Amino acid sequence: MNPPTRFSLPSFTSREILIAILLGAAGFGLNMLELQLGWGMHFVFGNALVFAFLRTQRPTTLVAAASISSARTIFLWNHPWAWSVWTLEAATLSYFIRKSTPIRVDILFWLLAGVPMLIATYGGIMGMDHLSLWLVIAKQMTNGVLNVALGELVYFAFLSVQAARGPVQLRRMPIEAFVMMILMSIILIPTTVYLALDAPTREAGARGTVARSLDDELQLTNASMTMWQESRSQMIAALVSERRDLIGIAHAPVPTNLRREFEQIVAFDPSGRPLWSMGDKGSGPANFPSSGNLLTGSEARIVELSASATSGNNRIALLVPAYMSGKHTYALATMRPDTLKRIIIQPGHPAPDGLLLLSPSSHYRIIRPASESIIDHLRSMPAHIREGALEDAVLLSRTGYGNAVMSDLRDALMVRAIRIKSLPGWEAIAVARLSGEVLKARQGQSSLFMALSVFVVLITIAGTFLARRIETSLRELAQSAADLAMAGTGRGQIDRLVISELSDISINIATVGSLVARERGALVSYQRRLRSIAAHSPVLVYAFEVIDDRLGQLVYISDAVEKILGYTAAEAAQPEWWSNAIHPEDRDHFRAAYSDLHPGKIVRVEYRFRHKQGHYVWVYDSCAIEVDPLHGNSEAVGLILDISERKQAAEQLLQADKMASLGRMVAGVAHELNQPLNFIKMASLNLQERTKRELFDVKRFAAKLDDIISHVGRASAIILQMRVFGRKPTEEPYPVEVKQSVDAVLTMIRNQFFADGVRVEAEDCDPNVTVRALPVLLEQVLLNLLLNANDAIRARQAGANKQDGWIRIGVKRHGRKAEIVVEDNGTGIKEEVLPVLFEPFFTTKPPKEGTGLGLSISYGIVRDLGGTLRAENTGTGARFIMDLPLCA
Amino acid sequence: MSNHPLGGSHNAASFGSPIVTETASDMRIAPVVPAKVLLVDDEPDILPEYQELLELHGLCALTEADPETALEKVLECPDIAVVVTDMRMAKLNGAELIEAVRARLSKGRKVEFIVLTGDSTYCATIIDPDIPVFLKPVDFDALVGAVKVALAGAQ
Repeated sequence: MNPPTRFSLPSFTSREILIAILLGAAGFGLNMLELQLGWGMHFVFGNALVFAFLRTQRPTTLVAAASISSARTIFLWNHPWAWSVWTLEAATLSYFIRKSTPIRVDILFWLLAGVPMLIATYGGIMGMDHLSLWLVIAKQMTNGVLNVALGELVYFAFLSVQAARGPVQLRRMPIEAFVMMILMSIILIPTTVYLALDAPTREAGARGTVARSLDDELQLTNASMTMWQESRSQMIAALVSERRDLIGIAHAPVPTNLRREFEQIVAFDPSGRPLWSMGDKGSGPANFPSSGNLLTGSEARIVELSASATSGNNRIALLVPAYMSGKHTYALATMRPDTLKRIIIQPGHPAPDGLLLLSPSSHYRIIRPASESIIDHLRSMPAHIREGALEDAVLLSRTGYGNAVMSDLRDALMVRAIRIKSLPGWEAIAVARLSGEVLKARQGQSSLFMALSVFVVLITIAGTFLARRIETSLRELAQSAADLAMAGTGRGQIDRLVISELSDISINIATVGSLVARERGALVSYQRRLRSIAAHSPVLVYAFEVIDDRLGQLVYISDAVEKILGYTAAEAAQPEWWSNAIHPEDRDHFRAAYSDLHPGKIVRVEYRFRHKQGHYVWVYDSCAIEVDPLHGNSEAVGLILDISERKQAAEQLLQADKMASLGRMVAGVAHELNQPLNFIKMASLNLQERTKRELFDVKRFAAKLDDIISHVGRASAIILQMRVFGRKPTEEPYPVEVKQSVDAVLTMIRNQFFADGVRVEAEDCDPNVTVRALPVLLEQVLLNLLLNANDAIRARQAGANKQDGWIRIGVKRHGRKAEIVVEDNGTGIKEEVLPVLFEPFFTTKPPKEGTGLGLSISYGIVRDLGGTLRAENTGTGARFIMDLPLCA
Repeated sequence: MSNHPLGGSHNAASFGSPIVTETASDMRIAPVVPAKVLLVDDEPDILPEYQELLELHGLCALTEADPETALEKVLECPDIAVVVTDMRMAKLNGAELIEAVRARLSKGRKVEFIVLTGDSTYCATIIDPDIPVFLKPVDFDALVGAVKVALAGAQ
C-alpha cells in the first residue's frame, strides 16, 4: 500500500547550482597549478577548496563541485579513474561530515574504497605495473588526505576571521577535527614541500648519470675513430708510395694487414685518374669507384661513396692524400661494411642502449645495436632536438600522454650527440633508456609514499585517541566545574583531569561558578521577596533619577500605583504626571520638600494626590536620595502610603482628644465654677436672710451685689474659654499672636494650677511673635503641654520631692521660626520614653487619667501647621519646644 | 487684741471679731453663743459670707483663710468644737488639716469636722466616713443642721 518509491535525481536550488559551479571552477583552476614531485608525479589541490566548504554546503552541492574540480585530472592523466575516485571521496566526506571528523572519514574512505578502486582501475584496467601502482595509490591517498587537511585549514581560517569580526555564525570545529587537522598538516605539508623542492635535483641527478655514460661512450668512439684513421692513413700512404709498380697491372690483392678492414684500395692522381687498384673484386677501371669531387684537401678523412646499384646503403671509404715518386696522389680505401662497428672500442661499463653514426648525408649507421623502436624514434627525431643533443643530453619520450609522463617516463630515452673530429660532417649519437634510473627513483618514491601513508594512518589512529582524550578532558572539565558550581563539592571529578591547566581552570571555574550561583540564588530570592513585598503591600514604591539635585525621569514604580491611585504604571511613567496630580494647595510645599536633593537627604512630605477617578487621596511620601554605586548617579527611592484613613482618624482623634482634655478639665472647671457659684449662693442667702429679718443695710447690700456680679463675671469668663472644645477646626489658619493664646490658656488654668500650688510664669513672652494658625488649635496644644506639666509636677510632689511647682512659658523669635517653650520642674521624661513620646496612645499616666493621645495630637497639629514639636529633659524637669513658621 | 486667743492671725483680727461683734448686736432673736465653729477656706472673699450666715442662724463662727494658721487656732482655742474646712487649698488641703488636728489634739478634747468641696469627684470616705461632706454651692440649711449636730456631738 506504500506509494512506489521513485528514484529521483538530487534536486538543486539555483543558488546551489551557482555555488557548485563557482566552487568547481575555482577548484579546477587551482588544479592547474599542480605541484611537481619529480618523475612525472603531481599533487593537485583543487579539491582542498571544495573540502573547505564541507560544513557549510549540502552534500549534493559539494559532490557537484568536486566532480567539476576533479575533471582536470581527466585532461592531466588521460583517464577518468582519478576523477571518479576523488568525486566519490567528496561524496563520502560530505555525507559523513556530521558524524565524524573529515580526516578520519577520509582515511577510512581511502582504506575501504579508494585503494580497492585504484587497484581495480590503474592496476586492472590500465595494467600498471606493481611498483607504479602502489606508488600511485600511496600518492593519491596522500594527496587526498592533504587536500582534506588543507580544506580544514582554510575553514579554520574562515572561522578565525569571523571570530575576529564578531560572533561566530559558522559551524564550530570540534576539538578532534582541530587536532587531526594540526597533526596532518604537520606531517604532510612539510613532506610535500620537501619533495617538491628535492624532486628536480634528484631527477636532474639521475638524468646526469645517464648523460655522463652517453658522453663517455661518445668520447671513446671519437678517440678510437681518430686513432684508427691516423694509423690506417699512414699505412695506406706508405702503400701508395711504395707500389708504383702496380701501375698498369690489372689486379692485385689488398695486403693482408689491411684486408680485414678494406675491400678495395685505389690510387688516383690529383686529376682523378686512377693509377692502380687493389682488391677482391678486380682492379680494373670498371671497378674504380667514382672519385667524384672527393679528391681534395690534404687531410686523411672518411668519405661517403655515392650509392651503388648493388647496395642500398652508401659505402664509406678512407681518403688518404699520399705521394708517389714525389707527385701528389690520393688513395681511396673502401671500407668493409662492418669495419666501423669493429674499430669503435667497446666500453668497460654498461654501454648505452645504442650508438649510431650519422653521416653528412643524414644516413644513420648503427654501431651498437639498438631496438627497432629506438631507431625509429631517432629517425623521427626533429632536427632541432638533435642539434640540442650536441650541446647536452636530451630526453625523448616515445609515447605522449600530454603532460603526463608519469607512466611513460620509463620508456623515455636520453640522447646525446657529438661531432667526430676525424670524420668532418659525421656525428656520433648515443642513446640510453631512462628506465633504470626511473625505476630506482620510483622505488625511493614508492617507499617514501608508502611510509607516509602508513604514518598518516597511524597518526590518524593516534590522533583520534589523543583528540578523544582531550575532548573527554574538556567535557569532564566543564562537567566537573558545573557539578562543583551546583553542589559545591565533587573535587573527585576535577582530580581526574590529567592536564594541570585543565585542572586549574576547572577549579577556577568551579569556584567562580559556585560564587555566582550563590550570589545569584541570593539575588533571586531577594528579588522575589522584594517583588512580593511590592505586590502585596499597600505601599507604592518608586524610584526617580536625580539630575542636578532635582527630580528627573521616573525609573521604577510598583504596580501598587493602580491600587492606591488608580493609574497604571505606564500612565505614571508619563512626564509631569506627578506634579499635575498633586492638589494645587499642596504643590508649594511638595516642591519645597523636593528641592536640593543632595545624596543622603531624606524627604518626608504629606500631600493630596488626585486619584484617577477624580477624588483626592492623602498620601505620605517618604524617600531617600541614594547614589547608585554602579553608575554613580543619584536616585530618589521612596514609598508612598495612602494615609487618607489616618488623616480622617487623626481628625477624629483630635476631637476625641478634645473630649479627653475636657474630661480632664471637668474636675478643675467644676471647682473653678463652684467657687463663684458658692460665693454667689452664700451672698444671696445672706441677702435673703437679712431681707427676711428686715435687716436692711443699703451700703452692705450694694457691696454684696457688686461682689455677686463680679463672681458671675468670673464664672462667665471660665465658661467662655470652654467654648473651644466644642468646635471642629475647619477654618483656614490666619495670623495669630502667640502671646494671646498663651494668655487665653492661662485664664483657663491659672486658678486651678494655683490651687494645685503650681506657679505659672509667662513673663518671657514676646507679644510680637505671630504665626499662621488657628487659635483653638494653638491653645489646645498649649493647654495639653500645660496640663501635662502640671500632672508631672503633681506626680513629683506625690513622691518624696514636695518642692513648689512652677511652669515657665516662653515665646520668642528664633531665626525664621517662632519658638514656644513650656518648661516645668516636674518628674521629667524617662530616657526610654523619649523616642515614643509622640506616638498615639502612649501614656505614662494611670488608666482613666489619660488617653495617651494628647502629645500625639499636639504633634500632629504642630506638624500640620508646618512646625515641629520636641521634648527634652532639663535636669530639673521637662522642656517642650514648639517651632512654628513665623507669619511673614 | 494681741493676746486674744483668736487674734493670733491678721485675718482673724480683721474679719473675725469685729464682724461677730457687729452681727451679734444686730441679732436680737438669736442668743449669742460662745464661738465654737471655725470656717477654713483659702478664698478670702467667701469667709465673711459664711460667717454672716452662721451668725444669722445663731451660731458663733470664726474664719481663717490660711489652713496652717487655722490648725494653730484649733489647737490653741479649746472653744472650737467644729471645724468647717474647704478641701482644696494650696498649702494644706482639708484632709491634711483634719489629720493634723486629730494628731495633735490634746486628750479629752473633741473636735468635729465638716468638709466643703467644689470638686464633685472628691471622695470624702477616703478620710473618714463619719465626716459630713457638702458640695459647693452649699445647701446652707443642711450645713447649719450638720454644724448643730456636730456641736451637740462635740459637747
